[in-house]
Amino acid sequence: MTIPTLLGSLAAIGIVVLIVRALRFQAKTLSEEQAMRYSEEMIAGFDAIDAGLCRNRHAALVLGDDGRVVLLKCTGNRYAARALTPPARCRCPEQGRLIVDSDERQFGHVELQLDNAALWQQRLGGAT
Amino acid sequence: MNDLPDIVTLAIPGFILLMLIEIAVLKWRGSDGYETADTATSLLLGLGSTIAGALSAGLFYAMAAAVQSFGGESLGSPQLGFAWWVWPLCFLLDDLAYYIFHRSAHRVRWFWAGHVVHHSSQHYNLSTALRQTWTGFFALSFIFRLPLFLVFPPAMIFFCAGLNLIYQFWIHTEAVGRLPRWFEAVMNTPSHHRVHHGTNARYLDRNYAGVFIIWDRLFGTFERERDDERIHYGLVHNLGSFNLLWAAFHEWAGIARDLWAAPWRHKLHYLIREPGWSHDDSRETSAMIRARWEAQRTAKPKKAIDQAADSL
Ligand SMILES: [Zn+2]
Ligand SMILES: [Zn+2]
Repeated sequence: MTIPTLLGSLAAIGIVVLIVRALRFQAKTLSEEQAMRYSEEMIAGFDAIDAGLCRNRHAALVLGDDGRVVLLKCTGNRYAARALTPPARCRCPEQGRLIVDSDERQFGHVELQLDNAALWQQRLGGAT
Repeated sequence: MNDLPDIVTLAIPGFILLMLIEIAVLKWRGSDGYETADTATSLLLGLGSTIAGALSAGLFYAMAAAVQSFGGESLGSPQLGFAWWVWPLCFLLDDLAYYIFHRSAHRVRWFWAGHVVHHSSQHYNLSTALRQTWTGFFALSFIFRLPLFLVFPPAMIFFCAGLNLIYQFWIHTEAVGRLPRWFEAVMNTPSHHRVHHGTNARYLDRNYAGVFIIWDRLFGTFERERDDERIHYGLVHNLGSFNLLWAAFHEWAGIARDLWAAPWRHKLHYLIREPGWSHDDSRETSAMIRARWEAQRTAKPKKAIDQAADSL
């Protein structure tokens, strides 16, 4: 590959990406019902019984009947899921704010603004 | 005849044009089928893959030439030359070699570490087709085509492999529904390949075909796309990140971690067993995921029906 081809390719990539950006393909916000359905569809065998939605509606926690908690994280305009088995690492630095650690460096931690953060902290901690 | 054109390079303007058309169609339909960072990651992975391919091409040509002369001189295999009937035969067998490569790429973790990149987007659009690995050579993906060099002229094989790759570009789209039945019966199509990129338990490890879907029908890996189930594209454990280097190398990092941590007698298994295999059953293979899903379906059939109805 020559330098001009490389530069040409980078320019073409830049143009396509800018067009996609200009067209604003929006991220879908979540509802509690969607969060539960997505987690069931993405984690085979998972049965959702309750969901906690972040106030920005771009992240959620979903409790399963087996005690596991699915963490839904917005990535672009899709949601990536991790099923966490309690006890999972999380902290509540102030009321209504919960930071959940996925225990994977690249997936990282997800910060949620939750009405009942304390309840979810309990659930992630393994309390029933 | 030894100087056939590099058709993949020639096809690049066509790739870009089709991508722009798809972007316009999806936007028009109000779809969320593209995303800025995802598209950038896919296209940069594609560019990086071309560069990596160019760097390893010399080694591959040398191996191909060695296999060719070994076939002719030591095995006495017939050298088929460029007669007209050799072309379709070469194309067909090259596609079979692709099927075997692709199936192995999903069933052996070392091979998967290269191929996983192609599956790492949660989107399914034409830019996903260009999301290709940087470590294909290291993952040994070339070995599956080597036997072809025993009888077919190298230039013909490279040409057929290029055609195969170009064919596979256009099927990476949600913009095309189902095609006429005779076409869906023989050819790999957007519908069949959507199944391949799905993480739904029912779709895991299905539809490995390159150009002809007949191989999946023949070898029992075919699954039809259903209208009553939303497809979630990507990986069972999606990356949740657009980090280019992580997308390119994450499975190699995972292999390294497992090799380090595993007891000695299990280390090799982390290289050759299927993705998701673990010596203590702490993770899930696609077969385990499918079994769990089947169990849930039998235990709670009503829930399955409700879910199917919801996703319509
Ligand atoms: Zn694949
Ligand atoms: Zn594909």
